[in-house]
Amino acid sequence: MKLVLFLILDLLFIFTSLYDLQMLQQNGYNNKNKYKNFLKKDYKNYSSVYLLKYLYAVTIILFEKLNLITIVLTIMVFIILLINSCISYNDHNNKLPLKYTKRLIRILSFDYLLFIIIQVFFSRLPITMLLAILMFYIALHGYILILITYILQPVEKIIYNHYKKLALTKLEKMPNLNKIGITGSFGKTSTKMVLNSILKTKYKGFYTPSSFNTPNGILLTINNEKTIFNDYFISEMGARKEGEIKELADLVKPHYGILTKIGPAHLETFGSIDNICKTKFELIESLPSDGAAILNRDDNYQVNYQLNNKCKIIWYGINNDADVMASNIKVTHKGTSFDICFKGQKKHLKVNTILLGEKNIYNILASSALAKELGLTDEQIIIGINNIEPINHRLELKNFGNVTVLDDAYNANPIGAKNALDTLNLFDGEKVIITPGMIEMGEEEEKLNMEFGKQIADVCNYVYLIGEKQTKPIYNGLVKKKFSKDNIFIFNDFKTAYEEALKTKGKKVNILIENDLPDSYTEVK
Amino acid sequence: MKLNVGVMFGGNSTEHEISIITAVQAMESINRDKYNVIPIYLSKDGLMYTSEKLLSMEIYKDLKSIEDKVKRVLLVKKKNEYLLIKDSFPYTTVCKIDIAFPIMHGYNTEDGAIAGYLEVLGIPYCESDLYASCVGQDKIYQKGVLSASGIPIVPYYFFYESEYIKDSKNIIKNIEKLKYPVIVKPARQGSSVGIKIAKNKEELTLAINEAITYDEKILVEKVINNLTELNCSVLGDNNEYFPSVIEEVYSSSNFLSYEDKYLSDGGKTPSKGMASAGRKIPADISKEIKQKIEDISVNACRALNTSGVVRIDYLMDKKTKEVYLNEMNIIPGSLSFYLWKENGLSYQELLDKIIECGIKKYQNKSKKLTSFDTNVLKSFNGTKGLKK
Repeated sequence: MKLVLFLILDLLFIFTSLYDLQMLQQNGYNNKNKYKNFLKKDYKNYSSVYLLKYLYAVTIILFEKLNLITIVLTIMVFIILLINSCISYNDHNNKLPLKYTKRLIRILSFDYLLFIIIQVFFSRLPITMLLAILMFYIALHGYILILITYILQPVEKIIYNHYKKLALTKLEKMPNLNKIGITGSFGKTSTKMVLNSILKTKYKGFYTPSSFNTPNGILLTINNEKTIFNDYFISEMGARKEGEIKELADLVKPHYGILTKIGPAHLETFGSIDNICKTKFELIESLPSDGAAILNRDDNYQVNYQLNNKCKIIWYGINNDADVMASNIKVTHKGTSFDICFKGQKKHLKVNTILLGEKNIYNILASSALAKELGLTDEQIIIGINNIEPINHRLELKNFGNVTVLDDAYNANPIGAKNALDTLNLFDGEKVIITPGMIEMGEEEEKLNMEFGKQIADVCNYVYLIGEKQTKPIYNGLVKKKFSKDNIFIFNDFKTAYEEALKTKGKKVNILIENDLPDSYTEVK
Repeated sequence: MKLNVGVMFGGNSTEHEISIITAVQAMESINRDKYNVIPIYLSKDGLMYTSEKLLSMEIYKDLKSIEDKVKRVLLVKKKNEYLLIKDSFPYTTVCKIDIAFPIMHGYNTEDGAIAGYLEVLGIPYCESDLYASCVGQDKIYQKGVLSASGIPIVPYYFFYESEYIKDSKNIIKNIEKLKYPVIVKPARQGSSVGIKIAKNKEELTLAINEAITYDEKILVEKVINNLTELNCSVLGDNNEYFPSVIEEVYSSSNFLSYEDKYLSDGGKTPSKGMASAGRKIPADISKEIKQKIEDISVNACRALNTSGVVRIDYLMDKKTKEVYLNEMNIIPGSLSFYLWKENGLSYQELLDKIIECGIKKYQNKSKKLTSFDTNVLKSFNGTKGLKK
């Protein structure tokens, strides 16, 4: 009998623990007390479950021995809690599963070991007392994990330092490596990909993947890099608070820095735009005196910032006088073409790229400025720009004969949507849009979608809406702008809508796919 | 930080000892400020050894006893590193290798075997890749590739041992179309191994039998009269090739024999390899011939896509001034340092450039897509749909 009880209890522990570990991991291992805050919220939401645990623990102590009543009670409580924890675990595991990283396994092992030790150590006590202690452990498990994480911190520090040493040694061994940092409020990833595309016409290099713009991520990238024979390393640097860019810059020690644009991203954690500016400039301040900073002349924050570092500055821009400028910008169904003018050089570079949007022109200017600084010839820069590959589903241009598709499926915000419509407007021919509207916009959703409808009415000839209920606000917006109802088509799934849209008559047909979720989004009637 | 250069030499080839000479010479001259030199000696039975002792000629005087004095190792890839590890328990790491430098001559090594081995391992390495090496070693392939690029070669004929056994009369008839004297060579050996000149049918039969002991593929060429032998080295890769000064080589017989190249002066002074054969640097030739040879040399390297340093041997008829490309050497003896010295390049600088070429070659290949991420086998339903 005792065995059965402890078996169920151990099972209960495992499921609760896995759920708690998952939450710990997703809350950054309690970085900045994120997990602690989560526990407070969790307690509010599931207070009845917690209460049951505490109640049981307190009650069972009152009994000296196990009799029929207590056994039945115990089994009932355990099974209720077990079912509840199984459900919680399954729920969350489907959306974002637990990742068994080395760090998690260290915490998990410590936790399980502790649970086993308690059972062994306190086995001499009356069984009801042991059951109570273990139930308390399970009830307070979240806080116990916080304690374990805290205890293991020095271990993590040692391991981190070990990987840091490995990475720095490896970097040192790379002969003549050009280290480049890219930061800004947005456009970091795009600029990184553009810069890599250009530089690889002459050099070989590597870069941090987008989700890796933290110190750990950078170390991982360096340690996983296949070879030491690299000419350049591009490190994308992101931050949510002051000092975070400096930390990354101190690690990598870049020779060159690119600033894209300063904007209000993460304003809540930064506090003010000035703080954002100061943080981004931590990259530029860290450059050596013989390094170079590539800055945006059309960004007032960058122009007005008082820079202490006396390193070389190369300005890029479109509207204001800069060292590297773009002119003669044309957008066609093949992409964007423009001229790049380097100050002091008579001959302009005529470049073509499949990328669309003004933001990308800035990214290309910044990358070309650095490429020239690193010794690339005009021809190499032109070829590099021509070879830039579009980012999937982000204003991605695809040409099929007389049909041009503008795939903006990954965009989910209103500003991006308007930008896409403006780009669509520049093309010749019939303009079609396929969209399920914008979702997860909260309270503003209806208003934003109606606004979107009005914007569509100004640009498109035909509109394909996915999901009648979902897109009603868009429909209303279109009607408000007197858009012809005959040209609005409503479908339940993307595939059918797309096939129909392809049949649009016209010499040139341009289809914009906005915020679509292929394969997964079908409205249930 | 210094790069670890693993110099690989020896191997199962008839030119095993010559490669030792070239390698020891080279290892002496590699710039110790930039590189750490790790000697990796391959014995004739394919085992790998390393040790500081392998850096000097002393230990090679008795090849058979080498393995008692050095460490036997394996070259392995571990995650993103290349290591020399002890070849038996506990398999401790002896050292890391950043780039391999094969200095091997002849059939079974220089012909792409070592390059192919290193390619599969994925380690950066110096000198030509396996494509250039293969064509560089097989004289018949080479003649095909070179003449397709408009490079002049002497009239030739080739046959296989099996064909000769089946119908030797016919083979000899075809050879005699070239008109005596002819020169008979094993198609894939180097350093003048197994080569004989035949002035008549008897000598031809003897020469063929000699050549067959080294290779089943036999090449027969017309001998050039009034012969002058000229060599030119080329350094670089398909981005830019640089020809060296041209030397004229003299020999005791009508061609530079193995004895001439490696055993001159009766073996009294330690063999200096190619550097000691009788030679004139720079060769006494007209400006036109010099330009012609330089152009042909660059063109030949481009045709094969060589990398690093090569040496190209030419035959010139003194009377007619006709120049023919005789053969290419993908990893030349002594790495032709004595030619580059005349160009003002020290041996140390030459080796520097060869290593840089090797790094560049590796970087360029890394930028290419050599395998795909998508797993075609994910929806594999059996072998039915394989061939379309």
